[in-house]
Amino acid sequence: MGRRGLRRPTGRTLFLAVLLVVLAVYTQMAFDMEWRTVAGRIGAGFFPRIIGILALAITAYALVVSLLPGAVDGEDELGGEEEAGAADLGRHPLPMLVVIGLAALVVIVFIPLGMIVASALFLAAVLFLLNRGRPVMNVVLSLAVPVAVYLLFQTLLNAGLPGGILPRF
Amino acid sequence: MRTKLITAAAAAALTVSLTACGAGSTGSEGSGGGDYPSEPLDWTIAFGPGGGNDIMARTMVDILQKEELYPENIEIQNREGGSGATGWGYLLGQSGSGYGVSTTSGSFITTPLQADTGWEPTDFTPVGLFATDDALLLVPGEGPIDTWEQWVEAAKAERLVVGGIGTVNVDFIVSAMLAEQAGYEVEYVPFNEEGQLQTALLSGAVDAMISNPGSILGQVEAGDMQPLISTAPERLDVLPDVPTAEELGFEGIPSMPRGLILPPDAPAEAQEWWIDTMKEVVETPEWQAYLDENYLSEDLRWGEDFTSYLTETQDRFEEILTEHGAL
Amino acid sequence: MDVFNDLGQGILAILTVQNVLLLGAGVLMGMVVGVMPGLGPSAGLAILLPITFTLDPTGAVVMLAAVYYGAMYGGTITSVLINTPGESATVASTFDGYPMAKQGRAGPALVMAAVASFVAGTIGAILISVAAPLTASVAASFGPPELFLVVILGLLTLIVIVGKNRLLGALSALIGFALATVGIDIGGGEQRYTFGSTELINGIDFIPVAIGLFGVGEVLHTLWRGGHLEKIGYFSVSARKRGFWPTKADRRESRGPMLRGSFLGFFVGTAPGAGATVASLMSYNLEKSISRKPERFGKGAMAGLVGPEAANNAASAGAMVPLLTLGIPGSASTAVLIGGFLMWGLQPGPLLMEQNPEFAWGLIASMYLGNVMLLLVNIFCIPVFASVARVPFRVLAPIILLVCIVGTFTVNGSIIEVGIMLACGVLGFFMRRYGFSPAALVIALVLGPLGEETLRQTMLISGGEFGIFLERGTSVALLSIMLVLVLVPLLTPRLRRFTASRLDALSRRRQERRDEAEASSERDRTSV
Repeated sequence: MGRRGLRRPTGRTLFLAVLLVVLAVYTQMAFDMEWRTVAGRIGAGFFPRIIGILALAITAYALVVSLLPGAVDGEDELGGEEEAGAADLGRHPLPMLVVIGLAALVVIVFIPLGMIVASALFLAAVLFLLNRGRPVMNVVLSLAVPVAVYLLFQTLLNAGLPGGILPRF
Repeated sequence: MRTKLITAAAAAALTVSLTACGAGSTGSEGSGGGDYPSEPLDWTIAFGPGGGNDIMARTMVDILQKEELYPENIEIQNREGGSGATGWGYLLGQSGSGYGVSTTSGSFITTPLQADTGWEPTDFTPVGLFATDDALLLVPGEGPIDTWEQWVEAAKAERLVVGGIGTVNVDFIVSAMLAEQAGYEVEYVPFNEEGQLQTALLSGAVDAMISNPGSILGQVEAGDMQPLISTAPERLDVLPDVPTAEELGFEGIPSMPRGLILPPDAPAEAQEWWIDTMKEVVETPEWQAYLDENYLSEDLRWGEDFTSYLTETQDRFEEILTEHGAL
Repeated sequence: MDVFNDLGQGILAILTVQNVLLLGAGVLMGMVVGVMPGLGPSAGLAILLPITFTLDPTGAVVMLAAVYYGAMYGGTITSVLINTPGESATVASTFDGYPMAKQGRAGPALVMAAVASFVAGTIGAILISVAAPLTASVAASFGPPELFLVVILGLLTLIVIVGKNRLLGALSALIGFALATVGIDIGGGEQRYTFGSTELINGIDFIPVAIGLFGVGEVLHTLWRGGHLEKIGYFSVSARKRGFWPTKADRRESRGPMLRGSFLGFFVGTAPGAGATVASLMSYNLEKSISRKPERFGKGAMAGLVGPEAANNAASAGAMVPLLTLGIPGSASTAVLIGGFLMWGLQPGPLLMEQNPEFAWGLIASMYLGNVMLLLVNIFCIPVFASVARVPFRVLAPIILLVCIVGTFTVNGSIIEVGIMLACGVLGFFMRRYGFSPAALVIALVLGPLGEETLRQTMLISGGEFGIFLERGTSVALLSIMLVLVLVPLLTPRLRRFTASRLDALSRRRQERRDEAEASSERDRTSV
C-alpha cells in the first residue's frame, strides 16, 4: 500500500525472483517434451513451452520494474478501498508464520494421529496464540469443533476421515 | 494392522444390528472350510459412485448380503483417484489380509502401464473374471455408412477420424487393432469424457467412435447412432444385427475385464472361499439381471486363469501401445 | 400449451408428503455439504447418491435435485462469507459477494443470491419446457472446435476480471495454465510434471487450489494485517447496524442482471464441459461492461453478485437439456445423475423423455421445487449463516483453516492435496499482497486443460487446418459472438466518457446520502 506501516523493500522482488526460478525449471522441463508429435500434430511440450516462455518474460520484466527507484512494495491501491473501514493494525508476519507452520504440522500428523486429535491440537494451539485470555472458551472450542466436524463428515457423510489413535465412532 | 482394527471398530459401531443378524448364518454352504470369514470386509471401489465399477461392486454386495453369503458386515468405500491407482494402491497396502477386496476394470491393466503405481495386476490374489464390458464401433445414424464393410471401404478411400476415451485405454487399442487387421489407417482422437465424445460424433466432428453398449444403447435405439461391430464373444441380445469382431475374422480384440481381486498374498483359504462363493453369486438371477441391464458379456475365468488372462491382455496392450508410440 | 401442462402435472405428481419432506431434507443436507469448503454440488451428489438407492426413482430424483441446489447454494454461502468458492462456477460470486460481506452486507448478499437462484431456476424450468428441442439441436452441434471457442469466450472474460493490473493478471493466468499442464497429457498419454507421483496423474484439482488461494490466502492476509487484534469483528463495524434484508435499491439493481444472467446461463450451460463456469464469468463480464458504475465492481456491487449467481443456476438447468434430450452428461453433476439413472434401471438417451415422460418431467419439476424449497429454507437459515460474520476473526480464523483442511482431505482422501491446498494458501497470500489475481489463476486452471484438449482434438480432426472453425455453423456463430464481445468494451469507453462528468457528480452525492436518498438519485439518473 505504501501509505503507512513498515515496508519490506525486498518482498516483491524476492517473490518474483522465486517465481522466476520455478518458472525457469518449468520451462526447462517443457523443452524436454516434444514440440510436435511424429505425425506432425501438437505435442505434449507445445503449450508448456509457450506458457513457460511468456511467463518468464513477464516475470523478468516485473522483476526489473520492482528494482527501479520509486517502485512500490506490497499491494497497490486496488485492494485498498474495500479495507478502508478497517483500522490499521500494523503488520504481523510472526503470527502468520506460526499459523502456517502449525497448519503444515497438521498435514504431517493428520493420518497418524487421526483427524480429531490433530484438529483439536491445531485449534488449541492457534486459539491460545490469537485468542489470549479466554482459556475456557479456547478449550471448549478445540474439543467441540473437531468432534462436530468429524460427526458431520464421518458419521453422516461417511467420508473416510482417519480415526488415528482414537477408536472410530 | 491398525487399519484392520479401525475397520473392525467402525463396523461394529455402525452396524451392530446387521452384524448380529449375519452372525447366525456362518457356515452356510459354499464357505471353504476353516474359519475364514470371521471379520468384517473392507470393500474398495477404485472409482467414484455411479460409474460402471461402482455399479458392479454394489450389485455384488447386494447379492452377498441378500443371500447371506458373507456372514460379517461389509463396509464399502469409494477410494477414487489416479485412474484407480489410489484404490488399488490401498488394497496393495492390505497385503496378506483376506479381508480386503476390490473389483477391476480396464484401468486395472492400463494405469500401471502409464504410471509408477507400485503394483502390477498380477501382484494381487485373483478371485475371478465374471464378465467383459464390450466395445462397439459406432457411426452417426443418418450417415452413408451402415455396415462394417462400407466403413472399411470408406476408411481406405479417405482419412477418417475415430474418437474414444483416453489414449492408454481399451478404446484406442480396439480402434488400432481393428484398423491394423482390416488394413486401413485411421486418425484416433482421444477424449476425456463420454459426453464430449458423444456430442463430437453427433455434431459430425468425428466420423466414428468407440463406446460401450451401456452408455450408448439409448442413442442406438433412437436411431442417432449405428453400431458396426462389437468386441463381444457372441452377438449381444439387444443388438442382434451387429456382427462380432470374431465373426468377421478379427483376433484377440480385447474387452474391459470385470473381475474381483484380493490383496497380494491373501491366505489360500480366503481365495478358495471367494472362488466358491462367487461361483454361487454368478448363478443368481440378480446377477444375470445385472449383466442384462448393463449389456455385459459373461466370461468366467477363476483363480489362476484370471491372472493369466490379465497377463496376456496386459502384454498385448503394451505391445500395441508401444507400437503406436503411446507409451 | 402442452409443455406447461406436462410441467404442471410433473409438479403435481411429486407433491406428496414424502417428497416434500425429501425436498426439505435434501436442501438442508445439500447446504451442509456445500458449506464445507471443497464439497460442491457434484461432490454432494456423489456422496449422497448411494443413500438414494434405497428410494424409488422419483423420490431419489426429488432428493437429488434438492441436494444439488442446496449444495450449490452452500457454495455461494462460503463464497460470500469466507471468500472460498465451492466449485469453479461460484468463483465469480466471490468477486463482489465477499466485499459485500466485509462491508457487513452479508445478509442482503445471501438473500439476493437466493432470490437470484430462485428466479434463474424458474426461468430455467420454463426454458427447458419450451426450448428443449431447439436447444438440444444446438447442444448436439458442439464438437471439439465449438468447445474450444467456448473456452476462449471464458478466457476473454479474464480481461475484465483482472482489472487494472493487466500484466500481473496475465502472469496469474499463465501460472494457472502452467499448473493445468500437470498430469497425463490427454493427447498422447505422456506424463507431464508428475515427478512419478500417482497422486498427480489426474492433474492438480481445482478444489485444493481454489480453497488455498481464496480461503486460506484471505485468512493469512487478514492475520498479517493484524485482524486478530481487532476488538470487535472480522467485518467492519458500521455495517452490523445496517439492515439484514436487501434494500429497495438492492432489489432494483438486481432485476436486470438476474434476468440477463438467467437467459445467458441457460444457453451457455448447454455446452458440455465448462458451461456453468463460463456462463457465470460471462455474466459478470456483461454486467460490468454495461454497468453505469463499473468502478463499483469488485467492491461489493450487487449486480456483480446476482448476475453470476443467476447464470450459474440457470446453467444447471441448461445442462439438463443435453441430459434429457440427448442422454449426454454436460457437467460433472449430470454425469453423476447418469450413473443414478442406470442404477434405477433407466436408459439415458434421446428416447428417455418419450419412454419415461413422467420421470423426465418429474426431474424438471423437482428441480423447480428444489428452488422453491431452497428459498423457503433460506429465509430461516440465512440469519444463522450470516451470524458467522459476527464471530471475531481471532476465533474464526483457526476454524476456517481447520474446515479448509478437512474439506480438502474429504474430497479424495488425499493428504497430498491438503499439502497443495496449504501451499496455494501461502501463494495466495503473496498474490494478494503484490497485486496478482487469484481469480485469473483458478479460471485458467479450470479452462486451460479443456482449451488445450479441445484445440488438439480439433487439429487432429482437421489434419492441422484452422479452416475448420469457419466450416461449421455453430462455430461461426460463436466466432461472431466473440467479435461482438471484443468490440463492445472497445466502444463503451467513448459512451462512458460522454456521460462521465454527470455520473461522477452523481456518485459523489450517492456516497453522502443514505438509502432513501439513493433511491431518488437513482430515479434521476434513469431519466437522463
